[in-house]
Amino acid sequence: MNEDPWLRLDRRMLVVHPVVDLAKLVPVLLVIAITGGSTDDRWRLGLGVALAVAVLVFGASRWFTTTYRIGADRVELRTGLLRRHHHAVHRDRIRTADLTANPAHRLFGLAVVRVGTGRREGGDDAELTLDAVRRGEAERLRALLLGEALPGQAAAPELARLRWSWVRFAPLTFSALAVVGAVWFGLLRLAEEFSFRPGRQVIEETAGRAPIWLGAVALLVTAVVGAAVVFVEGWWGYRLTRADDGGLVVRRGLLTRRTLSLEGRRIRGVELDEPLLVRLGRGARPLALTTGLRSDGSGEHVGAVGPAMPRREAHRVASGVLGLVEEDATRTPLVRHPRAALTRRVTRSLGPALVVAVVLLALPEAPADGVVVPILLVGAALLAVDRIRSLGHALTRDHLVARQGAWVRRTVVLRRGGVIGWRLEQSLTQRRAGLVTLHAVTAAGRGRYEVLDVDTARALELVDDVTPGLLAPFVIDGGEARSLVRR
Amino acid sequence: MTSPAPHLRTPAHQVSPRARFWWAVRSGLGTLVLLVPQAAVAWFLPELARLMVLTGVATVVLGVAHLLVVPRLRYARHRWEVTGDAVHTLSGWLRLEWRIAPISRVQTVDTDRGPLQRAFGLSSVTVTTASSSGALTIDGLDADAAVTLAERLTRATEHLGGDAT
Repeated sequence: MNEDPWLRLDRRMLVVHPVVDLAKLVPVLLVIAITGGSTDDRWRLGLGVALAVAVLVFGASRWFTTTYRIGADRVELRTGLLRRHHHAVHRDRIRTADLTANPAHRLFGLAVVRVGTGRREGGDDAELTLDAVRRGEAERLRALLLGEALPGQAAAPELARLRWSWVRFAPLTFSALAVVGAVWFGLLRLAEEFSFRPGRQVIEETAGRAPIWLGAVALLVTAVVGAAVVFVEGWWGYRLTRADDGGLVVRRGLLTRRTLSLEGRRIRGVELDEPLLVRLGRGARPLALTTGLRSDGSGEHVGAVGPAMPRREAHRVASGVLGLVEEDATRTPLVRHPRAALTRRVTRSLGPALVVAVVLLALPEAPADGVVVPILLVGAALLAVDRIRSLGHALTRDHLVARQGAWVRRTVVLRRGGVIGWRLEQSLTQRRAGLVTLHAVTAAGRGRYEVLDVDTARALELVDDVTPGLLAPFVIDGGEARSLVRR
Repeated sequence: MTSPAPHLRTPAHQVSPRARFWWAVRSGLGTLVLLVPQAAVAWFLPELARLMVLTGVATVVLGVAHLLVVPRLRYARHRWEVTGDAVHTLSGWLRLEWRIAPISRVQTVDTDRGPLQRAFGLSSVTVTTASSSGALTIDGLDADAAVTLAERLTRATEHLGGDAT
């Protein structure tokens, strides 16, 4: 297929690349400009100008040296001035095609196309980046590579769009804590940079007198404001729409516009996450379980199809992803687990807490026994109750549904066809209780999803229902039923 | 729970009897690795020597017990079987773990022989699927049996189409 022409990136990148590179160079240039005496000023100026020119030339050269080609069976990219690099990706290996645009790109109406093969390892080789092409061209490429219809040809059905009231969940998510840490660390670094080192006396006079609640309020305010800012940047203009192939398109982002496409045939199920704090605020977070996704640089699960939102809304979105009514997806009525499974929740939660409490009481000089021990025990009991309330599973016509957890309550709805193996685990204590932990192995998401502590017979029934005949050669009747395996 | 209910018979095949010696040697080496830092501490910090002798003795006792008991338990429990539909393995010595990989989902079949396994004429067979946690390993097979098994599995999977996800 040599007749496909080699194409260049958009001509406007002749400006964008050098300008962006130059902007990165500004601090260095400033240092060169500010520091130093007066004798060798001309020399210094010359160095700065030479550096800037070199950067400009190199930036511009990237446009001349970069070409790409969309062939019938593969996508190729050639880059590099001194060291030429040729990168090719087979089109049937392409799993994702994401569009991003930083402010400079957006100013010029450009977008970066990132083509991913969904390989979990291989780092850079698994990805091919066109930085950047015209916005319209980018949309066309994505549609072409993923075999979708062009956006805008027909109005894509919308599953969800941003409501500003959702910002209230932002401070409740774990990332809010990370924001607090980052902000305070940044402030400290800044203070150090300006060599602001208050003397001992100053500290005692100011901090010593400030009441402790002031510190707490400062922390809380940074958490709330920081989380809100991160939320606005990340989820501005959020829209979840359905593509023609049954896949999904997530659009979001203020400064960096992100577009994530999930192919319909790669979606294996959905998950509804309810971290404790978010759950107390009656919120939840919908995720899609798809093959060929990895966590992106920010450590965020890229399967997220929306931010934390009201629980009702999250159920609707998650079920909408699967094209089901809520009662068949994340709100399926669940089967309770055997009594022994509930007892295990209590012993596993209260047991360690009791041990710690006894140790604390036994230590002669442990401080604040009277406060810590009751809090510990009541907390453990509440945790156990919550775990019991969460625990459940169900098998619908097309899906395996499982729920568990207290710190993060997870409801997983996994397509039956997405199960590509099983694991059955039985510890000594589970054996005594006649329970089994069943893991449904899948290519999507975290790789396997567990149904915690089900009756042995029920576990075998589930396996046989989802994958008929697989375990049949091994199943025998009779005898004492507690142990998974009879020798 | 007293009424008869379905459960599973064990898979048909055991691993090679020599695997017991391999596991025992591995256990012994593990104990030695634990002893090295303790010996180093005792040597360089004489004031802690007495404590280190105590922990060292405990390590040796536990290590010997592990060496005597665990390989036998493993050998008694580890089993595998390939049916027409799937590969099954049963492993673990305290916690039982039964893994199933349907043949139609198998992506690669590898045999692997470490230096220690080679000394005992043993080999491992690893079967991977598209899942990040779907791999299934049969340790301590007789080397020839492992090659035969891997070939058989490869042949069984190669005529199947699709990307097995």
